[in-house]
Amino acid sequence: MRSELWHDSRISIEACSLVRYGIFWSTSVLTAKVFLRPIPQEHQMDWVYGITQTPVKGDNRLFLSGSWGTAASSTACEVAKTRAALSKKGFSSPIFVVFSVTLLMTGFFGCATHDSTSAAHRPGSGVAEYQQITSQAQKAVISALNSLEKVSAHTNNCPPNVRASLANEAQRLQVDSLQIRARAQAIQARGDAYFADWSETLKQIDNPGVREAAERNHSQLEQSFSQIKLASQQAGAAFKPFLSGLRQLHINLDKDASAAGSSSGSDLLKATRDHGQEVLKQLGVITNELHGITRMLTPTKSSSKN
Amino acid sequence: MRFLFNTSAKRIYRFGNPWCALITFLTLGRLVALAQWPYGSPTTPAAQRNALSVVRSQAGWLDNATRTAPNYGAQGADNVWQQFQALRGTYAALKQTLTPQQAAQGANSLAELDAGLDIIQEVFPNYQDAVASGQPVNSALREMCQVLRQTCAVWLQELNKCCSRLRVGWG
Repeated sequence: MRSELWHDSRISIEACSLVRYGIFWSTSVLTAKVFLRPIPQEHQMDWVYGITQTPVKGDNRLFLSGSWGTAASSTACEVAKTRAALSKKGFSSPIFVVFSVTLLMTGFFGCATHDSTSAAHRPGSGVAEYQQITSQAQKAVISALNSLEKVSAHTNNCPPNVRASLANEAQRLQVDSLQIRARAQAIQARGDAYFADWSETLKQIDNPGVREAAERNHSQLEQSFSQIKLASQQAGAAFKPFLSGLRQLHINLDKDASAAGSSSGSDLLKATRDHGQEVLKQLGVITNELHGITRMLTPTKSSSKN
Repeated sequence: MRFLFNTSAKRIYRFGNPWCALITFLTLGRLVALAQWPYGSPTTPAAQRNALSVVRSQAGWLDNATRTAPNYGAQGADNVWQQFQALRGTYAALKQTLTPQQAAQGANSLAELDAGLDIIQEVFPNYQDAVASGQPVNSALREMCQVLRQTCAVWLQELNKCCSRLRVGWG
């Protein structure tokens, strides 16, 4: 689904660019064809007075350009007739010049289309989004732990479908946990500045009750953020050995289906499971804190009446 | 090109010189807009749109590379690495086009996108470790490419959300 959305977006951008380039170059060529032909010196002021004269047939001294598709054998008369016809249709009028410039500018400066996702984001929707990515990561960790359980049930000879399931869950875990890991890393990197910026977004919320609740519970919100920061750090610290253990188990089992039965294999299995449980526990702490934040930001009846 | 440089005194062009100048300006302007601007990045909406378009295109190239790399072994891994680094470069260029207000307003999101790229990049040492641990190169490369492709799709989705939120390219 994600990649489909992404490709749709890319296709629309490509189509837009194609149209822009088409407009730009076709207008450039058309303009050059109409206006960049040499004209005889005696007729150079014709366009000022609106005179369109047809020269004598056979006079091809100055009308031949050859560069823009006019055959070298064309007579001056034919070219001039074409130009006269164009002039009658208004192609050499100032209106056409303005029209051409407008088209050129359109092609040059591009389309002003916007992503349809822009309306989806509202200030303050960050908590719900955080809850969603935490829940997604929790599901991925639980699935990986379940596949570990299946491996531990077949220590003597792990069947291919169980090994494949372990490999798939390890991959899925890497993908589904990307957002929460990135957020945790950003929280660690930015520290208090992260909370300060997030608090700023709360002030932009339309609902005055939520704004008032955010101001009233500012210190509790900050405390919750500190808990989230700590839990994120601990979850990140446990996640790396968890993922590494999963991958190592997968490699060992691919080489030897009974690898989990050896003492080193069972140790690895146990350590990986413990790290997974720790990640799950810390994700639970984050979820609880986020629920607490949601409660704090929910306007009370009295404040919503105001 | 003859019409551009023909300066024969006998030939007088109707609107010739101004139009030549305009077309030349627009053409060169287009090239300048697409290429790296050596004197600091402009922060205009057009520059932002161009930079964002380049990031998306590069993500497409990376996506293609992850699909074809398993057929080329170690050489495929090198190609994927180069495409990923190019994606990082185009993203860095996009960040340069943001206005100070956009950069400040989206500091958290941008930090997450930065962290996301760092995390995604971990697939390369993981691949090296897997090969060193005895996993066949093709199998390790296929797994790495799958993870890379999917994580980059998630990352691009986040980038699009962030750009939409910050109104990148709006003007």
